[in-house]
Amino acid sequence: MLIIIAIKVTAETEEKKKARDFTLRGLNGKNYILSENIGKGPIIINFWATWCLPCYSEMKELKRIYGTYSNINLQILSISIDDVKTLSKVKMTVRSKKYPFTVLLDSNRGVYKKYQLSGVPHIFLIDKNGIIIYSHKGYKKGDEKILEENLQAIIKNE
Amino acid sequence: MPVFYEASFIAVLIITSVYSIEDFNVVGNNEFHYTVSQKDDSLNRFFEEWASVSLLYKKIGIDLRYEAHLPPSPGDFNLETRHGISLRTVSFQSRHILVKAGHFYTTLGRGLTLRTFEKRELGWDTRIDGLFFKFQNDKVDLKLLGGIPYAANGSKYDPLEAGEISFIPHDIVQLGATMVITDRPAPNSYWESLYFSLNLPFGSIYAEYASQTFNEFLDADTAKALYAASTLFIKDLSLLAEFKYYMDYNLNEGMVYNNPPSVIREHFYTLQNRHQYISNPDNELGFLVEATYPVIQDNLLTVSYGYSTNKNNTIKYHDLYTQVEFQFPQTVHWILSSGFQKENFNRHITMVLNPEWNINDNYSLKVEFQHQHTAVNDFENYEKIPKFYTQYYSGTLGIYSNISVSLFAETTTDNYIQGDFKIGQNRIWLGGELSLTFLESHNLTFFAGTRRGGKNCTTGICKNEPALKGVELKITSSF
Repeated sequence: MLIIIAIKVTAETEEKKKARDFTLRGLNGKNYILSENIGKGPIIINFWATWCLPCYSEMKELKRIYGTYSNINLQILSISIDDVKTLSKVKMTVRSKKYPFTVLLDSNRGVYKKYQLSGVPHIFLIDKNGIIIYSHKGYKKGDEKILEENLQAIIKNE
Repeated sequence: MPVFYEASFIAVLIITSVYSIEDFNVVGNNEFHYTVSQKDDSLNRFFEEWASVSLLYKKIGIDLRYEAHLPPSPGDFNLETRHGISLRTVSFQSRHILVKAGHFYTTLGRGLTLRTFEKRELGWDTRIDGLFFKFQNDKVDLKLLGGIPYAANGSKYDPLEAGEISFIPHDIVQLGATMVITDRPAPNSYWESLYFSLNLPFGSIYAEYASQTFNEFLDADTAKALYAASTLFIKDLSLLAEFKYYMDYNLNEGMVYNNPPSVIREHFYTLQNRHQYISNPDNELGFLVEATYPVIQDNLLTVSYGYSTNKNNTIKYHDLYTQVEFQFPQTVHWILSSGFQKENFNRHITMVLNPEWNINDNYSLKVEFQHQHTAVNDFENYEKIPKFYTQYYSGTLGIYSNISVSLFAETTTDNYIQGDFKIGQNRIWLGGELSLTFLESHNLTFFAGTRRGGKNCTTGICKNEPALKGVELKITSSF
């Protein structure tokens, strides 16, 4: 019954949701507050972990997208959900894979739970009004095309 | 009937929130697992359901989670469904302050004194029922909490009070302290830690030292824990070193309260994960060193070695791992890896071949081949058992971004496996899976065939998964 309700609710609710605000400390030691960065341009948030192989495939595509759209103030927030067991590997991974985006640490999974996620990778595309335009769990080849289509739609509307 | 009432409660909550109160921000998800598996002459049914909903009205939030499990926990012969509201939290959040009443999870420092968390795939949930306060700004992080912790099996433990304060005088430096007061293992036990971190462009250091005091029943000289991690970057070379020394520092058997870093590499591949070292903060000493280097352009080479032992040297665990990633030709991404794991007298050598071919924008093919050679000793007879091997194959065809079809196979020449099947039977497991994503946020996975049971490990915690001979349905929905 709950599954049917969940599907029905999603299908019938066309109104897009506002992204929930959060404050997270970044890999550079600085606090990042989402609400203070909304309005500057589109934001891609991707949740990932060092032990997640599909996350690397997705982030490779994000790296390409970041390079392609850097002229339109695109921000990519890469939120690591690595807990204390693997937290020390985050900086090494980001450095060795040369990820150019802002990396935030959610080791208590407070933001992960705030967005009610159930696995990584999970990606959100947020427009300059803070509205979630696109949300997708998992990564398969082709997902990046849909993300780019949505991103281009945001750019066109702005 | 209670199931019906609880489910209806959540359903009504979702519908009313979404449709009638515009200012509410509602998110949620639903996970449903159903398995029918043949064992001997009978059919076993497994059922699990998690429904979570989070309502946010301005700065006030309400979180609820409903769970149902049949059997109550894996391998349980009890045929009654365990169900109920497993999480209920009211929260207030402003820019710098977070207050929660009800169930919550938290970690102090790196978990040496306190770490409560949920790992659904392992059936692990050590939440606290109580009050939580957090203040955070650019210079100070403060956490204060009190409540009753739950063990992974749902039972309640002695209450605790805890806190953490850390100062960030500069972006690169953090100094902190944590404290937990519990009646475990004896009344008024004080567990505390001090930590320090330095975060520089060319590397980082984190060190935390924990001890216990004011407890006449424990020997304060032995109850100690030290964890340290460091990274160093020299041009394209990245180095990581971790060290652990945990002696008499498990606050409760079963790790209800604390759960420090295991300092063991998290393996990506099934066969290696089955032989992970299981953490025991009461008696553990070890280290991990890892290096990555781009051999040619972005082709990354990783070498890692981890070692764990206990104070009497009766346990010795070695884990050597090498991995190389490269593109050849441009449309195929390869991961080749090899590993050596040694648990006392058991030795496992594993080779992995994992190419992923992006055929075009709409189709991709991913293949995984794992071969593991094992030599074990029979401890009862002190005889060396002949070596055996295990192989694992999988192939996944991705069609557009929302459909994938996978085939899985595992075979072994192990003649000493107990439990799932008898010696002399054909040791091959074969299954197929269809995964379908629809309406952006719903995923359906259907598996049919056989799947080997055994240890499923993550971060030093293992769960024994039952073998499967039948079908499995998983539906995940977000809204």
